[in-house]
Amino acid sequence: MNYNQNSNHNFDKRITAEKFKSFLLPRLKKLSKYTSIFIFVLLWQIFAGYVYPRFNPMAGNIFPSPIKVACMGVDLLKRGELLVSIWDSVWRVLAGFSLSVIIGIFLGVLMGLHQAVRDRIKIIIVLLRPVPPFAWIPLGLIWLGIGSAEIIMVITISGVFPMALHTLYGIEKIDLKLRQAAVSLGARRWVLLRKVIIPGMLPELFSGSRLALGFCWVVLVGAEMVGSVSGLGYLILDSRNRGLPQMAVLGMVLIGLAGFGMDHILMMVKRRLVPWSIDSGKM
Amino acid sequence: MAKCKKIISEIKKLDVIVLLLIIWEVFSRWIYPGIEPQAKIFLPPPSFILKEYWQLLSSNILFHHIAASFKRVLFGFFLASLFGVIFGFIIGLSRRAHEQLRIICNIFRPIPPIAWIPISLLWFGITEKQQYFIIFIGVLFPVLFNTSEGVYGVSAHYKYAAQALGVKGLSLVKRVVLPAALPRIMLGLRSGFGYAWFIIVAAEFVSAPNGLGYLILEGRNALVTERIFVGMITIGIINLIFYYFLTKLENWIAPWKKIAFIR
Repeated sequence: MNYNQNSNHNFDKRITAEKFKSFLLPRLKKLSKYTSIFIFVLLWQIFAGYVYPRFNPMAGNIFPSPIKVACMGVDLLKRGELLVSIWDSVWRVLAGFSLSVIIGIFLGVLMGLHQAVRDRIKIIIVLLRPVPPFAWIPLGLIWLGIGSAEIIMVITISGVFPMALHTLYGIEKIDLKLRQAAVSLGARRWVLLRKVIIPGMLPELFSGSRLALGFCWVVLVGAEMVGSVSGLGYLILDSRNRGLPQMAVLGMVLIGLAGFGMDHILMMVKRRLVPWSIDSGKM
Repeated sequence: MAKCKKIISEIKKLDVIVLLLIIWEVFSRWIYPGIEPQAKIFLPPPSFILKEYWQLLSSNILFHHIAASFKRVLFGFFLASLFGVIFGFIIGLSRRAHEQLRIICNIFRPIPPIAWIPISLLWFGITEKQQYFIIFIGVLFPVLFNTSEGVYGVSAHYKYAAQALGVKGLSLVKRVVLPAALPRIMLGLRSGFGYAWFIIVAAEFVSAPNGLGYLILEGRNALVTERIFVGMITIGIINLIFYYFLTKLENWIAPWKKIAFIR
């Protein structure tokens, strides 16, 4: 009995050790992938904190070190400014992005349904797409004034074109044979839509929405810099007025992280919904 | 005859645009001012925009702004594509470099080039260099990413086949890797060029004494809305023309992968 218990105990120990190993090793391997980041931050700190100030006494005002940036982040977090800015930017992007997805899919489906409609709308899109989304900002400022409405309008415009075009590609891509097969097997309108057309469109929809989301982030920063008094873009611009370069770097890092995170979430949803499509240009 | 018919059918597609323009003209010329006294500022009719366009064009102001923006875009694009293609090749050719550097690229890539404006103003001041820098940053990442992915993604079968036939070193890169990666590299260059025109507007909003972005912002500050439209139309036309020629160029350089101007 005693012996049995002991061996059991040993066995447990071994299992925990193995578990621990299997827990730790892949994670360590994963971490080793990020060595370049550590080296990068380290070099940045050494250069900005110790080397550059020797050459240039104004270095702290031009080239902030990562520690300073982190301190700035903590400081802003304590004052509550940081979360407010992040939240402002994120909800604007989400609002503009979802609007552009809705309008884009609507336009795309409209184009996919009828040849004549497609020709007309496509020409308008082709003519309007090369106009930089930033160029809409002054127009938005005149129409809607400074504030979230103007920013959301500009973001929506920037996202609509990729979304509409990719919806159209998705519809064009659906295999006619699959549709005919489904119809000949007795699929009616609703079943056809749910089982054949929507799954066929989804990969293109996701690649369109990924493009649109990327555009939305870029345009958000520009729009917030020109016509807004809150958000991450404004934080960056305001750093110049306050003479705090570390705030600008902090804003850049946060925007990068938030953009990266949103893209990641979108790709996760994609993997869930469209497991059969390979995502190209995986981050 | 067939060509004639095709052109006519192309022109027929423009009917909705013409209709929209007529509605816009009628609405903002006669109906809207009755509702809103400031109508001319909010939505000027197309004919006013054309008049403003002609004025700016004939007084050479527009040309001056176009030249300023052009210089910035071309110079920044040239530097960035040189850097991007060379480094992209280096990253793509070595597996280890690809693994490590791709992460750093992925940190920088989601940061919009616009976000670099304030910090670059600190570094360079309000100068041409700062504008070049912003364009450089904006173009660099699409070019770098697409080049390295294109080079990295060249099928190993091609390389093995070439190596088995005795191709080595630089000539392997020149004969096998470059042609196979070319469509992807050109895609990066094309999107980078379009991107440069997007960014230049925002860069010129914040800090520039001239350029098309400045023209647009000036239109807003002086409440001459026509000028905003003039700037938008001009950039749109330039972008469209360049896009057309770049697709032509791409089909000429890499004829094994045809792409359409309008997909």
